[in-house]
Amino acid sequence: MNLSRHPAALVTLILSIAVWIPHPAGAHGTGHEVITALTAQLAERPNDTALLVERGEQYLSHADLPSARADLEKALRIDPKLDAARIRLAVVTRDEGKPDEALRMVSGVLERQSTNHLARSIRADLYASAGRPAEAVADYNTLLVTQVTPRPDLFLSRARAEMAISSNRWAAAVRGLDQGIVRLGPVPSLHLLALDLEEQGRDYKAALRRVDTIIEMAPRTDRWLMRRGDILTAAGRMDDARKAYRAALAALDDLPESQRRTIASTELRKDIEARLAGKSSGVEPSRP
Amino acid sequence: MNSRGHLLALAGWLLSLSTPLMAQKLIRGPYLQMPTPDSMTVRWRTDKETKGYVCWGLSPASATNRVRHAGILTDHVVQIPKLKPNTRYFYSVGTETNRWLTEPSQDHSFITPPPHGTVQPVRFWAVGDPGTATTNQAAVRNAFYEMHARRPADLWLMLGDNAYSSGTDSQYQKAVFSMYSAMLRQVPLWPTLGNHDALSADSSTLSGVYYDIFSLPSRGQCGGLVSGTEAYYSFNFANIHFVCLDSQDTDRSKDGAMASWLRADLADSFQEWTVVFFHHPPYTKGSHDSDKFSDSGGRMTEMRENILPILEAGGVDLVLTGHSHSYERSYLVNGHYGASTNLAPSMVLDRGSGRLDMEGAYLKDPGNASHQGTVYICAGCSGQASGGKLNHPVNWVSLNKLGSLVVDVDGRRCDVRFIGDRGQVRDYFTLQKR
Repeated sequence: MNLSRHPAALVTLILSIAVWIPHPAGAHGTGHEVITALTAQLAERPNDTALLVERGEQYLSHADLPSARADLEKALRIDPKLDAARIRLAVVTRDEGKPDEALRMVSGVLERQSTNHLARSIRADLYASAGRPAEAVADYNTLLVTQVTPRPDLFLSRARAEMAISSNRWAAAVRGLDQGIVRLGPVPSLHLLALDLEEQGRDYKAALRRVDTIIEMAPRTDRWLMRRGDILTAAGRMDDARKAYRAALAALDDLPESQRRTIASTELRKDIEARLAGKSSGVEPSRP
Repeated sequence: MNSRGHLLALAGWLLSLSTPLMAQKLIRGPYLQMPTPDSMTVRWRTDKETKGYVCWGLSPASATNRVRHAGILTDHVVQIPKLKPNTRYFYSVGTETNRWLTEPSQDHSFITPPPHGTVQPVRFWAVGDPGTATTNQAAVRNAFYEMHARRPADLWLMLGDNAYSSGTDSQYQKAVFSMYSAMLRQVPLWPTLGNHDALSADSSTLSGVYYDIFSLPSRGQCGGLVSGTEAYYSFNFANIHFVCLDSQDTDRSKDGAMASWLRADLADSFQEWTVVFFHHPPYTKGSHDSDKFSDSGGRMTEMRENILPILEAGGVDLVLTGHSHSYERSYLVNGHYGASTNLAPSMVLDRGSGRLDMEGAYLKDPGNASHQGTVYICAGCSGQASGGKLNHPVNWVSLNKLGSLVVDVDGRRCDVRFIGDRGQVRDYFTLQKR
């Protein structure tokens, strides 16, 4: 084949060689080997929308928004119904600082495909960051109902969106977090936010029940006992709080020597002793 | 027996003759997952759907205890329960037709982990970005196999980009299951998700090839706290606490679920040593540049700024990563959360090599002492070495060489070696708890 008469074949050949020749030191750049390979394939099949979407996603993951936009828009010109491209283009649009336009794009996808998890997840986060928490909660609810194995972040995001609607909704937020604990197990991230919300809502009984449950399961109890003392202090039960702080000190004493002597344990002891003395240590406590 | 009975018997006999021809073939594994002091998970794949079982015992001859999974499957997952800690078991996998797919032998055996907290010598192997399925990957593997035939690893880690270029099932078959078959059937593997693996997997729904292939502890089954997801998890082995993070596909923010879980998990650990592994290096000037936010979508920066403070407050000793196809190993450092230009002398706690035969080991207080120093290693060079400036000032050594990591922990001493593709010890250092 005379390559000079077949420029596309020449480009493909050059790109293929570029892919397979080992990169010299320093020439590897920012790890765009997948993009290079996709570019080689696109030289042969320039209108392959799957390849365009894949390369667009790669550009997106490397924060190359103009290149991502070019690929995804081209894919949509070829196939205007290609929602995979539209969702990713919505992410590009969001990252370009145009959240309203991004919202319109994912909402359009969801009108056609209400079960599209990716689109709904992106829209939920967009609603949350756009100050539209009620709509975010609705989307998070749908995601949590339809996903078999939801990630813990979804439960956290829903609880935060509930609180963004109104701080009076702490009980609903806690119920949502407890649903997560039932489904995923006693994930500390969920328990910790629930504890904060229960304290904020002054439901000290619930907070104490929760921290007692955690203490029963925790390999190390010292920090949780201090947290118990803090909840009791907030509830005005000062004698019980002192008992909890003393129990926390005893738990620290029971640690193996190597753990007892660490800086974190020493600082924790200072925090607890300051609380027992009725004064703050002046630093942010290292409680769970 | 009437004529109908004769016919049925004949049909049964013919069927039994044809069984070997129709029998299922082993096309993947067996491989070991989620070891605990009293259990082991065995996985394998057959070409046809079948019921699968595992037989095990304390010797090949006594491997007659039997457990099977429910259902008829091609991807078989069986947990062997009620094992003794620190004990070698021999096993075989088979199908419902009573056909052995493997024989119990030294080659098909494993040793259960000791009880958590036990002080005894532990060896683990770590490969970063191995999945090229090339002679490079095989050379790195062979160098490890040959050097450590007498004392193999107790467990091994994959630091992401386990199968190029897209982490598909067929790529995993070539780059992982065919490449490391001997290791996989004897030593439990703990993986993390790389950017290439993520092209065929999704952490938000725990779906795709990576999540289908591996059994990982989302509920603290192997020690550590419940993470609620297989994307990140922790486990204990002897006196080491291991933490696997997802730097690719999970929220890396300071108040995200992963960061919140990590704080609690590290605070709850009693283990003498803590080793954390994830894919994106916080410090690299290799084939990636950790100073450029746009490189890898800001993942390296976010891990450095948001996650490293938690690791150092939690007393983590060693952080293993890949992504850059080079070997870059830091000094004993603390508090370096900015770009390389912001590295201050006070952040380098020990300016030495960490080598016993030079300036001496890196010293730390025992336990999970906060901010006593951490060594960061990027070792994404187990399948290819692809250069870069290799001049990040936090690193004591940066090499454009193939290799893998071998870590030996014994009591309060931890020896780390970087083994090249021909068995050369290209770097070594020691961490010592006072």
